[in-house]
Amino acid sequence: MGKPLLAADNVSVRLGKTTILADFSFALNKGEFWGVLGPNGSGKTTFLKTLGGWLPCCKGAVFWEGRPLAGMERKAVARRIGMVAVEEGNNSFTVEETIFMGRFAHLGRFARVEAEDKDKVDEAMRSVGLGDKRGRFMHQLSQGERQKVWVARALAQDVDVLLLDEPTAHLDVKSQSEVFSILEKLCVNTGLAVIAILHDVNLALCFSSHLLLIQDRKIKAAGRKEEILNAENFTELYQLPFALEKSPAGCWVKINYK
Amino acid sequence: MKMRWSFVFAFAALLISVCLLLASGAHDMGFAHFTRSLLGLGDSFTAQEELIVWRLRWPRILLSLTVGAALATAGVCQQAIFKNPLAEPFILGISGGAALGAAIAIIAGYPNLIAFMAFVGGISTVAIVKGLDAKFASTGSVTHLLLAGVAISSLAGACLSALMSLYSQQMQLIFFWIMGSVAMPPDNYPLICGFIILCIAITCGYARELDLISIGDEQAFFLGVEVKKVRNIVLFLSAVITSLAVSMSGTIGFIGLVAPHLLRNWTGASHVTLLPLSAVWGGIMLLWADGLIRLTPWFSALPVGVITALFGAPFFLYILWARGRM
Repeated sequence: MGKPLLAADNVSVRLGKTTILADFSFALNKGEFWGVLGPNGSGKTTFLKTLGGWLPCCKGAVFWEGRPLAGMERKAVARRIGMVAVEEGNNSFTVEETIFMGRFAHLGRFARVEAEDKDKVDEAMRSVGLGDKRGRFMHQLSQGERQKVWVARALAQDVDVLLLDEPTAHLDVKSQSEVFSILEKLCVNTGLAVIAILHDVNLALCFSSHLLLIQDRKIKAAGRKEEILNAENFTELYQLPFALEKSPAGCWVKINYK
Repeated sequence: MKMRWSFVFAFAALLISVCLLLASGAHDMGFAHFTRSLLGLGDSFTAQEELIVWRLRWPRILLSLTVGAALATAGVCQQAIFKNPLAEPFILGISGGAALGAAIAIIAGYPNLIAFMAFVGGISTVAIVKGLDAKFASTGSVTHLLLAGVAISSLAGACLSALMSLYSQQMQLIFFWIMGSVAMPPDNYPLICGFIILCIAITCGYARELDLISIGDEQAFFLGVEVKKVRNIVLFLSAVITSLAVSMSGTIGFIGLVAPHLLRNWTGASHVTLLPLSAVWGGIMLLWADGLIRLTPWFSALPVGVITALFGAPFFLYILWARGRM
């Protein structure tokens, strides 16, 4: 196997004097779908933002195919790595304009929009079922619909790696399944690699090929789903009784909330 | 298609406004005679008309257009960078600094240096604010920049008030400069106007980046924008644009706030259209504000800054009301 697409080598991240993620190494290869699980405040988002280059490392470095990510031009990085997170900013753009922002990294400063860019935007919009809402303003959409727009924007960005911070938190179960099925298909067919922070353990088990568990600002376990998947790991991670159930469709976690 | 018509409409309005205001004034030459003379259709300006149109009215019109365009463009930039619809060109203390610079020149008895000192005052204030932000805030957030702007602006305001109290005999001159006027363009106004237009054109080149920055710094970063670099460049450009405009006209309020909001309602939030169209409509607004002073006896004694505020404030409230009903 060649060099991993994205790799972190012995990285630590600090905010002021506090270490918010300590000494982690990680490698992401083509076609992998990583589910990131862990309690609130454990460092999941920090992990994702460090891999994307938004948070600087105080120790170690993040690499893209062996080259330090920090030294790469921003547009070049954005053609390779995309991010979907909940946004609170300006919602006065239309759905089409918002998805079009995903093409920014592919356009020159004064370049005209090409047919290829329009096709990518249309395709992304259709794939998340927003074809009929292209002219609607973002503030006219529900939070769930907005979340679909952000996913579509990342699809239009046409990247090799997608970082997703609770990408389906506001979606109904059908839409969750649709969005993850699209991503899973892209992983298999185009080699897209995905890292998704999820709170729904079963959703993570259903679509991920790999799991990464974060606890107390450290990576507790990482690897193929079958290696990580045991009730003890989850019980320890969330401090709740977990039980594994096998069904013909795969493995499921039963959580005893009381 | 809508975008194309927005531009056609804006430039048609610009052309009509310029022609109407070139033809109108205290000396009535008749619009038909003006048009025929301008286009060379069997008529020509008399020597006196030549003087009135090209030496008196045209400089004032060009200055109004450029200053209005400058303030509107700077307003759009500040609103995108600070992600705040209330941001306006003077938010980092340019008006306070420029007024202080101009007041020093007036008090020292160097009227020729008013424009230069106003420019120096405006641009230095932004440099100090930016310097303070770089020294004391490492988070990269714009909040510190905004707060530093408020502090330095207040300080400049206090110094200005102190100067006006100490040199009360020049108070009226300083006051009129602060309220703004496009009646007396400086000698080198074509050069400054050209430079402002060049800076506006360069700013328009950052339209796509501003779209992305306006939705959030982090989102912009992941979509491929060098956020800090672009923010610094656009802040620098809008500081230069505003300081140059203020140096020629004094501080004229409301254009930088109203024009971007008006255009957002009409053409949407995309800076690719918002920046150039705000510039054109900002110019037209100031042109008509000054036109009112020239053409109506009621307003003739008022500074143009008073007119923009008098009409701008209710108009702004109307825009907000209309947006609330959408």
